Amino acid sequence: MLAFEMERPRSLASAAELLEKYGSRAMVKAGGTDVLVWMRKHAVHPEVLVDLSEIPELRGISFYPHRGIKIGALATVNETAENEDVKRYYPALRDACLSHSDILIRNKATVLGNICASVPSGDLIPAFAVYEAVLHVFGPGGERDIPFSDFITGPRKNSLIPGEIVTAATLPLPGDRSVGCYLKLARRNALDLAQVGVACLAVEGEEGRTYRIACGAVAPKPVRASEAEKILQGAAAPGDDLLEKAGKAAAEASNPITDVRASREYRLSMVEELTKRAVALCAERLQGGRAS
Amino acid sequence: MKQTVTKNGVGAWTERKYDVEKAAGTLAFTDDLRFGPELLHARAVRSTVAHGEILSIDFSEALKVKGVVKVVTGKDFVHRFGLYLMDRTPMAIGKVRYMGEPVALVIAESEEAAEEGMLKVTAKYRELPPIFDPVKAATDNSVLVHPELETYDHVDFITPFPGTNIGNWFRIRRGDVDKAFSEAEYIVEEAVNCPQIAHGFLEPHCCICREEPATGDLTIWSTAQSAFALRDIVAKGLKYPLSKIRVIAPPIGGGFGGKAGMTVEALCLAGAMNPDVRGRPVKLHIPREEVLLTSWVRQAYVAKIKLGIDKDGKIIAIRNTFYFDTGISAEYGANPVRSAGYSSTGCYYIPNVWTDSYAVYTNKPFGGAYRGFGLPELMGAMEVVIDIAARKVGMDPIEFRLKNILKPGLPTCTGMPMNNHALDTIVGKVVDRIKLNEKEPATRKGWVRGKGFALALKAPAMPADAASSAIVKILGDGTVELLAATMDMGQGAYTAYSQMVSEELGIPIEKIRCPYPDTQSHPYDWQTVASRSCWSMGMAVKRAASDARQKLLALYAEYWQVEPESITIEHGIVKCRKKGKAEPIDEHIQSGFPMPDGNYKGGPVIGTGSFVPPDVIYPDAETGQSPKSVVHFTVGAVGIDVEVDPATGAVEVNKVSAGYDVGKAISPMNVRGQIQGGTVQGISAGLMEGMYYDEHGRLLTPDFTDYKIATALDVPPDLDAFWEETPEELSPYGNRGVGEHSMISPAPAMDNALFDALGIRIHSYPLGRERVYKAIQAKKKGETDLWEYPYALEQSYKNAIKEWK
Amino acid sequence: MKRDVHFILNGRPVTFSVEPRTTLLRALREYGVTSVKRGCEEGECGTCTVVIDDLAQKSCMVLALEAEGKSVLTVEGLVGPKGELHPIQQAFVDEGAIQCGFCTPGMIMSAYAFLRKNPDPTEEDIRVALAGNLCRCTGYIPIFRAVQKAAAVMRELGHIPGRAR
Repeated sequence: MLAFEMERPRSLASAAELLEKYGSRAMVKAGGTDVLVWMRKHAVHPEVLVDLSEIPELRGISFYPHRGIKIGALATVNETAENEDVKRYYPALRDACLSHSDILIRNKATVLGNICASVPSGDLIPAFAVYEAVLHVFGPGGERDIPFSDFITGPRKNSLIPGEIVTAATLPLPGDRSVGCYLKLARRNALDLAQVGVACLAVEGEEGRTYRIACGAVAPKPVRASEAEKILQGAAAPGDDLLEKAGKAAAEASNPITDVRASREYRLSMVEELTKRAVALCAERLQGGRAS
Repeated sequence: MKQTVTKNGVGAWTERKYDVEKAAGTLAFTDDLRFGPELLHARAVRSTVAHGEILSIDFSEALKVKGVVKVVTGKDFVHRFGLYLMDRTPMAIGKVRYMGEPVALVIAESEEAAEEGMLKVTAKYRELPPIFDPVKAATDNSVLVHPELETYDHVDFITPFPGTNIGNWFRIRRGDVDKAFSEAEYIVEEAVNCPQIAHGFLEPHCCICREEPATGDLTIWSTAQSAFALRDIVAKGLKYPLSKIRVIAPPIGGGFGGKAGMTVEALCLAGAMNPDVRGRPVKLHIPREEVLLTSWVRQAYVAKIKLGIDKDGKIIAIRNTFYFDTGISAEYGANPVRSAGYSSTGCYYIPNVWTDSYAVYTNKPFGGAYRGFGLPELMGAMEVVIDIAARKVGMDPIEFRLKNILKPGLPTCTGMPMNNHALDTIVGKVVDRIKLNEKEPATRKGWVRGKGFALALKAPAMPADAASSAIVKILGDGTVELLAATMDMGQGAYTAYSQMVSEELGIPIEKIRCPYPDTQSHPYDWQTVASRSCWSMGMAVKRAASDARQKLLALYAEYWQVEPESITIEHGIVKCRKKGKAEPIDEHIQSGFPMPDGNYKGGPVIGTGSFVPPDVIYPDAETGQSPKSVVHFTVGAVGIDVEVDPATGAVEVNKVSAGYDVGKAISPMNVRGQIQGGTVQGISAGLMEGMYYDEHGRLLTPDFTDYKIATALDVPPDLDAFWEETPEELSPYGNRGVGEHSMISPAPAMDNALFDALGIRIHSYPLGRERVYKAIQAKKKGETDLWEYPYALEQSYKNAIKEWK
Repeated sequence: MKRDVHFILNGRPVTFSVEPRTTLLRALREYGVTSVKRGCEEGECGTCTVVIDDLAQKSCMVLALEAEGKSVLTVEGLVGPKGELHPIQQAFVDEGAIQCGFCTPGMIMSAYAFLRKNPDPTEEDIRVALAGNLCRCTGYIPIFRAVQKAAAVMRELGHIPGRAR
């Protein structure tokens, strides 16, 4: 790796100051499992690394029964997966966490780091999309919230302004009862980037049964398969026909590339397949009373 | 009467040498060696084009980086190296031939400075059209990778063809295939392909070299499987006498052939021998993502096999055409071509044989030794074609194989009679253990299940004069030091040798030590490859230990005034029951015995042993025939039970059964380890491994991010590893090699299992999820075969949506 | 520019002087703790696995300065004062779970952290726990056996305070 200076601020305010001071010469680091690899491969060369891991207010996961769960910027993927409230209320998030890399990396990588890296294959991204997360941001202009649907703008691009830091994310509780899952297809069973990832929620709310479906690794931005969701609206036990239609709609909404991991055609077929499975799984779980 | 007694002789389950140090973390690998502040670090600058003339290399900026001491380029070190064919230079000279080829070496006070310097070197090229497709390269001479091929020295048994891209052409011409094909009832002609694959050892290459400034003597510490072969190759390349080069080989973290011969050492020497550097040791550690760009890969292949079968189901003719893609160098890659060639009737007796096995140059990283050495490639095709043939003639695939099997005594394709083996028994057991003939439903909902089988065989692939030698020293405390220059890279060679020494000397295994190779102290051994060591070095070790025993017994006989035949050595105690004597081996063994006549006699007891295969004759260059082309064959079989998810193409292995006729298991724990490990490696290669390039020749799978190997979650839950013991005639204890064999046939067995499950034949490895999915879709459209050619990928990349806007 | 980092290494307080870019892997190796290996230095192989404050981590993904105030454990720290191997180390030796030995220290540290939290694991649990540690030699099977055996030994010793560490 090329040399850099590292600052380890102890407060959000000092972190923001440092980012303002160094501008584009600085990059932010939480777990570092992406940044360190990018630096080693000479893909990025920050002069200064601003390490957030010593900022106490960025730690922790808290659950507020009326608001939802708040995940701090420093919460690791494993901490999140093992959290009781995540297990109970956010199963799609838990699935996504457990599919991420391997148990060792998960002890260091952070959920919000995965989101902010904004790599299309990021496993946490579809889960954040279906839970309609809100990102809390601290920056030179003060504090603001960004709804997740506005956050990722392209591969490795998001709507943060230089100097801004995501401090936490709130995932509101979806409806009265909900179940969820995240299905990932990769080249092998462990430690691999997603060729396709689909997160799905089935929610029992005021409008009856609704589904939320998000697909990752299949477009420059996370795909919220709204057409597929419309097709499934209200269906408590969607039959094969409906699943077929929903799967096709999800594929229509996707625009994958061909790369060494998978071809475009395979990804399109797999989006269809994983969407069908995810929806069926959620419908079954909600039917069987396994819900929050 | 057997004169030695020991608990841990040949055949015992014993604790392995160096396992304790490995568990404690204290065993020092090459990267762990400590040098002082005089140590310099090297980093290679690499070509950014696949084929081109070097117009300029500008390293002025690199020299300004603090800590950079020197930058050397190809022109500063003009030496050609090669084990069988000298076509390799450590850095490109005048021309680059693959993307990633080293063009310069930055030497600095620290690794970080070398890295910074490396990034500041710029080179300009005049691009030349590259050739990537080996079939095209073999049949079309418009792009030549080595226009100067005729100027390269080579051994007699390798035949390159200047003016072409053929680095070697091995032929078998036996009988009359045309006549036999014309008489055959059935003709089966099929092709199979496989991309290059990587060894995947966990320890990247690492090398430290130092030139002694006053004498020019070289010391090389390196991750080498073969200290002596390395010395030979370096000596020949530099035109130095052997004695001027010392190679020290610390324990290596996995080899699999990838650290055989000479790998990165010449590149390191280019730095260490530079006049501005010499005197200081230079360390070259290859980062993971450069491993495949610096040293061997397994050659890609396209194999075409044509069988002629008579009405009774006997194979009467075979025509093999193998194109091995050896990248830019055939210095080692020339030999797997031969190894496949002289085994090209596989496990079968076929009277009429025509084989053309080519090593083809392309503008890609270069092929070399890889566990199996031509046989995974041959069997990857042969065992699939045999399966196809069986079905075509309407016979059960096992029956078909057994009907044509190469029974002991029958001639192989080189005319050599096959040795004794228990392949029939092994086949029976494998078939039984995976219930090959029982059609069982899938255990996973919605999945389909299939079972497949493949035979395996291999002979040690080595020159006729591959020699071994060993020295046994008995110390004054009754311990033994064995100098045997095999590299114990985890296969457990030192444990096996210690068991042999224990067997021959009656000394407990805990008292036997086996240090790692150093050409300065160890006697010569050719290489640790070819599954030859337990056999070849085993002969030398047995001779050396027996020699020491004879000398010891003679001395004690005179000392005690008894017949040597009445003396035994039991668990380290020398006994003569007749005379009531029982003494532990003590300092007399090194200083001499006070004899009855009052004089000291003896002096240190050293046993020596040498061995070279006595009767191997190189196959004839035109016909490939020889009465004894190899020392022996080890045979075996693999059966695999798999399930496939038709909706995604995912393949899961339920059970594997793999058995080999090892002759004699010297160290059962080692044999089990080799069969288990090689089987998993074979499954991993078959299901998920392949090196891919973009249309410019850039390797897209340089490191573990995209070159995937099996993890703990990819291992079959049920792996049955077993062996048979039909003794080998010429052998220390009846043993034959087994190190490579388990890697050879899992892939074709899986291809056969997938055919059983899906009803469509896949002709391309690896059997990755996407490919299996494609096959399933093709079957739905009525296709019977799927063929995907890796070089066509260039087309798909050009057409694909590569960048999102 | 170099800075000091203070932490506990295998039970002893140490101070390293490191650049910000120095990973914990390289800092440990520089100091002589060479059981942590450079297999890939990009988080894909696990040969650099150490235990930091009870969590198994890939030390190539940790900057040395991040170790400030923490407790770092490697296989050197599992060996007893008289050279006795830890039950996990001994189990690896007994079960033939070691071939070339390069993945062994990392594998053992992963197993160590895992068994402390899961003293009675299923084979599936073990596979998931070791999924981040690659092995090319053994095919993993004897490693699973070794971890099971170690678990049994550690449970056995667990009732004697101070024995199973």
